[in-house]
Amino acid sequence: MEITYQVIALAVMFSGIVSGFITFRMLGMKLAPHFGALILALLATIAAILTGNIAVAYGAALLQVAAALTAYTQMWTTLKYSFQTSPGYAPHLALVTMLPVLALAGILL
Amino acid sequence: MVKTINAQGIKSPNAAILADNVIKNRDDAGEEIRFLLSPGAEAGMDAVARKHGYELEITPSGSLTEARMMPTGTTMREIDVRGDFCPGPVITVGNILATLPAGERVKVIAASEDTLDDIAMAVKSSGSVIAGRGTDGEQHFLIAEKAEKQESVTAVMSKDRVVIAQSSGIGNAERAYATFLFSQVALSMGKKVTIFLLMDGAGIGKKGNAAGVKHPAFERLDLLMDEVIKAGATVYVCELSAKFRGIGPESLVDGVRLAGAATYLELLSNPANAVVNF
Repeated sequence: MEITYQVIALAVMFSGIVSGFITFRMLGMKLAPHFGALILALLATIAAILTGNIAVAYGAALLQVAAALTAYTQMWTTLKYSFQTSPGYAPHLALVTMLPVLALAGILL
Repeated sequence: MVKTINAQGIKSPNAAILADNVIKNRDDAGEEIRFLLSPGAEAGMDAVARKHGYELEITPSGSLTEARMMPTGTTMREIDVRGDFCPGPVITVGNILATLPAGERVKVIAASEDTLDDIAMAVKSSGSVIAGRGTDGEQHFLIAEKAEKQESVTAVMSKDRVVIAQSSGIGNAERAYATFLFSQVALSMGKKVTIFLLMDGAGIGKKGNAAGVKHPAFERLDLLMDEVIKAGATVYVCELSAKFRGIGPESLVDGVRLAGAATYLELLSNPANAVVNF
């Protein structure tokens, strides 16, 4: 387990706050499951970095994957039919897509 | 060339005698002649047509009956626009009508009533008229008659119709809500409301999509849209935008119809319409 990736994931999640806020405002309550998963992932990642506990770090990695998955499942319909407004929420999707990659890297490398 | 004879008020058999004399004294043997008759005065016209080698077509035209005599062998031009989609049919029909002399007709066969609505809108907008419309088996058709556009000056005292153009779709919940909330307000003010969903807005018209839009302060979007439709608003989805997104007529929300560019342009250019964009 490499904790460096958890630090990078934390940076990604913090940097996603602004784009997430805008996306949440644009799409509304359908993003509530994603918002919940993201907050939990943020807290678990901070806990993993501070404690260095492997079990907590695994939990954080799982929540990071869940945050990315919920983003896609909740936004898929919008992605499918809304092209003109996509620049508004694409930055947030780009950021959360990094999370499962970092989570896997943290576990496998 | 089509000659029009206004014979309203002349009863049968005098109308047939008049037609006989008109045809006898016509300038050109290939000329098509149209008689505008009072209802019932068309009796005996078929015999006149046979006598002179004409084919007779009787159609209601407003409060009158129209008896159209065409030299045998001449048939009305037909355009089949099935398989084509917006804006193709409108452009095809417009180009053909532009080449026709006043009074000539063309039959347009389309795949759906929605396409015919769009074509009818464009035909009327160009100053021509719809002489007939119907269904023949699975075919939908209309007959457009070329007429010269009359310039008119219309003073609009009040705009009692509202057109809401929505191009943001479910990717922007606030604008999607505004479309239907404004519609509710306009309907409550006694205005006639037409919503045109185009570009991203077309996604709202697909079954199930609006159900995913919910703000804590407002009703779910699909329920709001249903209320607005039931209250009398007309909701169109741009055919081109729907095609772009793979949305077919079968997957539209009940009460929502496809419409083409001609319908949209006519709504925008009608001075009685107040247009709001979201």
